[in-house]
Amino acid sequence: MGEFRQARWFEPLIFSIGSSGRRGYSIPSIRDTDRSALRDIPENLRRRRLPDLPEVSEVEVVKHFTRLSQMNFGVDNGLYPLGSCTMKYNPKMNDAVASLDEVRWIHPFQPEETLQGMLEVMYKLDLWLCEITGMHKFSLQPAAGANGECTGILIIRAYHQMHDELKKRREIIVPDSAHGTNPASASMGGFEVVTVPSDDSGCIDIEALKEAVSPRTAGLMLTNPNTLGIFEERIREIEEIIHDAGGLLYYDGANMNAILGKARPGDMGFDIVHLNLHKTFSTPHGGGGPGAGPVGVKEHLKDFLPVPLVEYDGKKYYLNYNVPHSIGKVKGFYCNFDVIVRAFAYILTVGAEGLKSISEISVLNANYLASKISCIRGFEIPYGKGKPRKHEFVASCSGLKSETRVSAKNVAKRLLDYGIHAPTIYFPPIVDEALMIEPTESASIEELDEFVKVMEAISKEAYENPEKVLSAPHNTSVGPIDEVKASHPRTLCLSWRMYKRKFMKE
Amino acid sequence: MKVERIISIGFVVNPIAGMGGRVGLKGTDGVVEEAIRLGARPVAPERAEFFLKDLKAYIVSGKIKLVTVPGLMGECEAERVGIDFNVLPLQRKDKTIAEDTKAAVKMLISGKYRVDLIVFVGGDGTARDVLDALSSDVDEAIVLGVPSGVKMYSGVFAVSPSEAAEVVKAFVDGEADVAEMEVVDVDEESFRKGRLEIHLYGYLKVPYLPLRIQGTKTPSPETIDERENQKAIARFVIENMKPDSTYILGPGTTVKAVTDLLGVKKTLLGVDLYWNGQLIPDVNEKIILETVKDWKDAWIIISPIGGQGIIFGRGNQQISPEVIKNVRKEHILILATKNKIRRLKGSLRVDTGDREVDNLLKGRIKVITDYREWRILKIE
Repeated sequence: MGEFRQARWFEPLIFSIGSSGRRGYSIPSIRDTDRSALRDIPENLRRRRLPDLPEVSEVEVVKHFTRLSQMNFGVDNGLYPLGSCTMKYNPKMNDAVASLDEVRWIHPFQPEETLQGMLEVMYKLDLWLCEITGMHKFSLQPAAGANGECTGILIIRAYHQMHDELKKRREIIVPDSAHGTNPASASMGGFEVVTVPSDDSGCIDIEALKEAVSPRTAGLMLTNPNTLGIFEERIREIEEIIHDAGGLLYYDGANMNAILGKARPGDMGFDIVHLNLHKTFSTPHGGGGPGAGPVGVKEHLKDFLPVPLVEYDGKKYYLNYNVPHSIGKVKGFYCNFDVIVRAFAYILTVGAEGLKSISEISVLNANYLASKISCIRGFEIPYGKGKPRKHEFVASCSGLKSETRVSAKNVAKRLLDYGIHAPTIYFPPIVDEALMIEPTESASIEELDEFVKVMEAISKEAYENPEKVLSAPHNTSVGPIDEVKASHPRTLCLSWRMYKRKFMKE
Repeated sequence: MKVERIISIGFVVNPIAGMGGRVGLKGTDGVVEEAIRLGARPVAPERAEFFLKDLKAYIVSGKIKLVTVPGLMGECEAERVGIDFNVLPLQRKDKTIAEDTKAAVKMLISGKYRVDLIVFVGGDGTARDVLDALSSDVDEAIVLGVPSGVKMYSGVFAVSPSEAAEVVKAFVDGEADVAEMEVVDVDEESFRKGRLEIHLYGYLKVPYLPLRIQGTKTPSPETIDERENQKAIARFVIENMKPDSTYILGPGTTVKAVTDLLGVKKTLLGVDLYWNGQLIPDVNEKIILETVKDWKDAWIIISPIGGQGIIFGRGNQQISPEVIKNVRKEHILILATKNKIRRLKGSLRVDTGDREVDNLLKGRIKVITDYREWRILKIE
């Protein structure tokens, strides 16, 4: 294990660099003849004074952002085992495709006949996603996973409304190991949320599920494999319980990376699926987008999908707005097209067999790490002891914490000192001192072994010199921060304008 | 700029707290000698030092003035950490007993010292001693527990000594709110014999920093301020309340959040009746049975006590087996914040004293955990 040190520039805010009047690029001023164009802009929308932009030269801008990028960490410079986020490598080929002029210079207002190639990409991706998930039609419109969830919930809502049962069916059931966005999406759709506990094997407690369903049940939201990385073996039984009660099954496809070409939500009985293209299908993510959370449905729900759908009549591709019970639009225009193109390129380059081996390797990697980490002092893998995991697993270091005071948070921060991104911590909430680890198929055996060595070193350090771990990180651009101040609305500062108001008293 | 004020903190260590734990005595009340004979070693002094170490910067910089108790009840620990402090002129007995804690607390809130915050190191028993000592001053004093006991079911404790130091720092910086938290204790004598008898003794005002206490432990959106969570539950309950129904309200802050939102004043420790905007405070079984006319429209609203998840039979015996039978299980609304649920051992318990009613209640039930959120829990 080599010594890691992240770049540390004492980089001020860009507003503090440069000086008055300095420019990197000069924009021509508005000539008098153009002023007539301004006439159509309403008075109250016109600027009274110039925008408060930084005044810097080109080289200052380049230096500033290069330095910031050196203090950053991403999938391109190290292991990123952030559970539930599928931080796999994003092949550069996909970026190259998304950078083609034909992709970059299209406009959503263009007539359909000039967009045939792009519509073909969307249509074929829809077909492939149907094949992968066992669904019958996809909408590519949702721009993120949670946007997809909300779309799915609105479809459930519209479905019950059409059957005149919405007044009665008020509840969406979610397991306690669900992604945090599931209950949030159900609430957004106006439903009440009923949480069902997991049993000792880490799967849904079927008896509790039976108690939870009633004539009030609108549907179930489920991830399979679940957030513990465990496959819900009794999925067919779960499906029957929900369908018998008159509810619909929603599949949260955030964890699709484990089952590509192996198992399909459609075959498990799910009615609605969303996929996170930015996870399983390798488009860049983190920091809020752009992402894509397409939603697929079975035949009986096709007429509820958002408009427009992309169709093919045998001669040309077209946008279909004639969707009888459509929930409407869930995003402006058609989709985040640059993400769609990347996912299209990814599937095209790896092919069907490639997708299968992606899942095989990601599952193998996770199980390899799980078995190694379960042997490290202070760590264990709770729930479903001995059961194989899928693409990820959740370790607990509550033993380590009670013996050394070193918590999951401290372990996560100490990992940064070795040039490894932290796993997801304290999730799912049913595991104490949880470290949720997802290596993905991108990690090589050498990287996995290195990770294990680092975890062993941290455990040893926790028992011998806990202060070192408790005060981590030491080698990163930014040291430990005050977490309350960093997340409290009173002290949080998200823009230059806020900064000026809060700290410069302007 | 706000004017910087020096905050005075009274620091009381119960040096024997927690000694019974590792030798399996389930508490240290009345069994110190036995604990020592079994090889128990003091744990509180070490935890007190952890706490003071993490607070050291604030004491050195003069933001905090520390007043503590002679000997192992604070003085020794403060000395070992190497900070400035004052010592109460207290004549202590040789072996630490509850009386010393009480005397110290009384002195700390007296006119001469009148500290801004009392920090004690101990367990539920110590929390009770502090509560007793405060007696009529309980509404004015602000207290924080550094966990070091065998049992810590009370809500007055920070998660760990270092978290306690963070809470104190926030309190000093004016960034912490103050909330009422329960003081509960288990009867240790019965507990050792395998019976669990939990009592709610009262409430203490505690500096409360939700982000610090829970925020670092769970990611959003589960992260909800305890009191925000209570308010959200209350809002949901009220939206579903029916006019002309009678509500039998159990004790505790979670249920009190409902009445706060309704704008009526509930007793914190007692059982109250609510009907169409009116509240009858502190009712007993007899009054409930006499007052409720129509049991078809009667509801019970309760919240489990402490970490044990007991819903009937502790601190709310006024809601008797007969009352429960009349109301029926379907009309019992159980409220519990997500934080409270996390501390439960996975299920709720009942011990009404009537086996038939206990059996009636057993099985699974939907518990309200947030606005429009339920959770299926088992009653055992």
